[in-house]
Amino acid sequence: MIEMNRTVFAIACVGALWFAAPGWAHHSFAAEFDENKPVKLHGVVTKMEWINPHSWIHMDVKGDDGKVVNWAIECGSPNTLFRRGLNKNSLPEGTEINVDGYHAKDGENKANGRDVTLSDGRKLFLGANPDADK
Amino acid sequence: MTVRFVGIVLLGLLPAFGQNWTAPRTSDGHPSLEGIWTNKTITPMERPKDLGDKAFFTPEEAKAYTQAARQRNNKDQRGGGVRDVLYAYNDFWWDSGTKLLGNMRTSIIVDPPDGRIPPLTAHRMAQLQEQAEAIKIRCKQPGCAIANSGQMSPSDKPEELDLMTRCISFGTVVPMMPSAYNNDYQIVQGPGVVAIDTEMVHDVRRIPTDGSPHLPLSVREWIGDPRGHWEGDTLVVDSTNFKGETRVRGGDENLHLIERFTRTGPDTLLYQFTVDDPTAFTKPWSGEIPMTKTEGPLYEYACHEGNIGMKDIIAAAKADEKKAAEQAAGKK
Repeated sequence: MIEMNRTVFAIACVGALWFAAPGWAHHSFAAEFDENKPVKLHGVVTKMEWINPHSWIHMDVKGDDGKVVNWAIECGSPNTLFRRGLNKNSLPEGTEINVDGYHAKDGENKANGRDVTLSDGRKLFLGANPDADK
Repeated sequence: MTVRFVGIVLLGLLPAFGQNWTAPRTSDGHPSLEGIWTNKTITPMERPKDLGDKAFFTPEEAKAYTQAARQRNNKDQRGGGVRDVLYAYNDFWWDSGTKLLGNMRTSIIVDPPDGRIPPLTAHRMAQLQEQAEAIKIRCKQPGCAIANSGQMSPSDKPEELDLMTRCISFGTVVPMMPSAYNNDYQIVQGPGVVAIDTEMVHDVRRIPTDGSPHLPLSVREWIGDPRGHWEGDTLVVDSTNFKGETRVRGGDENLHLIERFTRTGPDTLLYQFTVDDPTAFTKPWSGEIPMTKTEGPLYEYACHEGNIGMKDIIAAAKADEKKAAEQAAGKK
């Protein structure tokens, strides 16, 4: 058997490893967001966009200087979120949320939504119940 | 056909015989494959190495494996650095299933008997090595990005990004393999044609069953040129004319894919496939998935529509180039 090095293996698997390893985003989040720039945002939802391939939450965040900046947070596939029970009423305008993610590399006010927590501490993107059949 | 393969087919048909069940028919007398089917599962594509030659789980092993897989998929995946950005998402994001396939196999691959994809040919390995070297050299310059594979990849223009990022195909159609989410397929039949709508990226395969030949080899398709025929109650689909970029596990444009669809019960559709790509793999390999009926509807997944990520990836590469140019200018 011919041993593959890591890079060749990666090339061999582009578009193929996808089906074997569910922990992959549609496109590379690491190409889009900077692992050296973690962000923690607190603010209110201004809009939720149910668009393919990934949904986006828009939120107003007040900075230390009192200035309000609108951020866009990239989230999961709308089809999956919908099947998980989220819908257009789940995050109404004005909902207070905390976001834990990484800043976009191009410097725009965008981040990935690694964790989205409501003001009462409930996590929006809780994992599915490991004991549940779905 | 090998004895093993016949055995597998018969095993798949057993429930049908047991219940004296006959597949419903379409107006032209063929079995109806129509409906919405899912292949989501925690059964791995390849058998984990520690399971050796064990092809089937016992009920106890299945229970333990299922529990471990569910916990693994739901745990906090954070590991620091780039891993957090690439992989730190739990099962709320994904919909890759929580159950093993009904056949209780330890892998989707059934042949070779070790349940693993055979090695690539030396020729194909050299080709991929050459591509990898070219990328490595290019990525010594700024403007590269970390691809889904975790490796660097050029990102100067959309054409350099992989098919998945470009919303062209997700590798879930040929062969029909489960992925992270949207593992739903709708089959509709008409006289002389079967169509399969794949929820992931909304790919539709239109399979003529009218005896028409393949397109000339000069015409290449992302998901190949499928032609179907009936062998008894089984729909056999033969696909050729692939573009090399589709890459099934390192495969190339010479992929010849043979798929078999057999109704085995009111809620089951046995899907079997063989990947025959002699220039890429040292031998053919086959897999099978008993798909199950699922509640609809299929949702639209018009991936191009809001593919902001692709624009952001290219913008990130441009920002990287700009920063490098500024740093170089500052040094002068």
